[in-house]
Amino acid sequence: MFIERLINFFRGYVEFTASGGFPERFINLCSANGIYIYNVIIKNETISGFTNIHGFLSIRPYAKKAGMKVKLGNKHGFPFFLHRQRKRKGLLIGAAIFFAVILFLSDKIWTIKVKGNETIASEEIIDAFEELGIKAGMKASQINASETAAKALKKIDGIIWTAVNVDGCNVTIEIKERVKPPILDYDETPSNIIASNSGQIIILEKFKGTAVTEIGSAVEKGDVIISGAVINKDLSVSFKRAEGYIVARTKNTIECNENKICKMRVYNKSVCKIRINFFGLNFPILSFNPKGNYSVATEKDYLGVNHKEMPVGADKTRYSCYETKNCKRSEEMMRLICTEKYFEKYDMLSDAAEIIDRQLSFNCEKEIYSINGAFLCKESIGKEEKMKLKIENSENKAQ
Amino acid sequence: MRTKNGEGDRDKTRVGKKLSDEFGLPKALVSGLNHIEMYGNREAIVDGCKGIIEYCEEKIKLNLGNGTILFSGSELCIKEYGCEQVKINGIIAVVEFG
Repeated sequence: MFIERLINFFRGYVEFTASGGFPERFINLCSANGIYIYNVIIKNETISGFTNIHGFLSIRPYAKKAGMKVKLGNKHGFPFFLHRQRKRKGLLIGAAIFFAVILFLSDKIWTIKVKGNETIASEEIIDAFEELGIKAGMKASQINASETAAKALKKIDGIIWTAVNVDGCNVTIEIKERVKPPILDYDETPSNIIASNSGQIIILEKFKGTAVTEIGSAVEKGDVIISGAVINKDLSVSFKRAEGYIVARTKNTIECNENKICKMRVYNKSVCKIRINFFGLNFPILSFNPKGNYSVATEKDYLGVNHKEMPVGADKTRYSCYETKNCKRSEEMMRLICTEKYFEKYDMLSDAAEIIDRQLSFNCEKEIYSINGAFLCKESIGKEEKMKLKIENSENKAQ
Repeated sequence: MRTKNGEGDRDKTRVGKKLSDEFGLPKALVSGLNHIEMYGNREAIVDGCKGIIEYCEEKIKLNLGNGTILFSGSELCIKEYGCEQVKINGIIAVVEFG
């Protein structure tokens, strides 16, 4: 029913009424002469119904033949609408512009999407393809997908396969990243294990080499704990790569100081440079050269449809001018900043070692706020150090 | 008095009936009879209509070439008429062949 009404709307239809004479003959004549009439209702010897444009133009002679008087009523549908608007030139021009814009934009690339990347950033891939000629705003018909994909394979490191799919106004770049082989440690250069921090050894597990100290001994930072020099059964010495696991009880400190007087940036003016981007074409709107010290922040403000960014929008570069001034901070502010710094260092320490005990002290003297922490920790202190060997008279000597 | 055309139509009907009976073909295809469809008592579609003989709100009489059909009821109207097909809407009470 809806389709029927839609077809009638596009073909145009006219209401009519006919009275007097012979309605049956009138309907028969219309049908015999190819005049389409429908919804014919008869009431009090008057028939009313609808006909198409052809009927509207040629119904009268048949009505006259049947002795009927026909009256044409309202005209509906698209052809009659166009006829009514024929004097409105602006509407015609607007419609022409609309179709021209649709035609122009439908051949352009609106969005570029990257699929399949895990380690390589999408922006990096899009930039590489932009250098190869695929960018938002270009003509879709100009894309040579296979050639660009082949060039991209050479250009972008770490990919083994790529394809460019053009789907209407959208481009999807599909890639497959190269899986890197694991790095195997086959290095057999002679080395010692030394202490990375001073402390008392509580665990000492030797896998390769000769242990030169034992559990419970105190070591200084840089002392050799496991030596790579191994005495063989025939009393000769060979040099190997020492391996082992050493844990020691160590002392660590954290010191944080914050001065009352500090240099601060005082921002006084902020200006924005704007460039309008329309399908790859850039138009500067506001342009100037900022003076003095300034920080720069860029932002993009693009049109989006269904969470897809369109190549129409503004690139904004915000310049914030500032002056550097000496400022005095309140004690509360100093304490806050100092505490923040302390916790940053504390997090680093707790990642590297297991903290057993701690002592904290806070001081505020001579406009300096300080936090001092002393920690008793359990940490792995084994550090590999390569041996420096000199060969003299075919004999190996370790330094 | 029989006309030559009338005889031809009757022969065609007879042959079509035989074909339909023997081979199980649909009667509408081979017999030359009119095809009439009805949706309850609200709508009727008649194929092979040669003209309208009578048309008012209570009665619509159609010429089928080899006879007539009369729809009686109330609020009857011709929804569509073209290509020898008539679509009748309304409340149909009686269908009569003549």
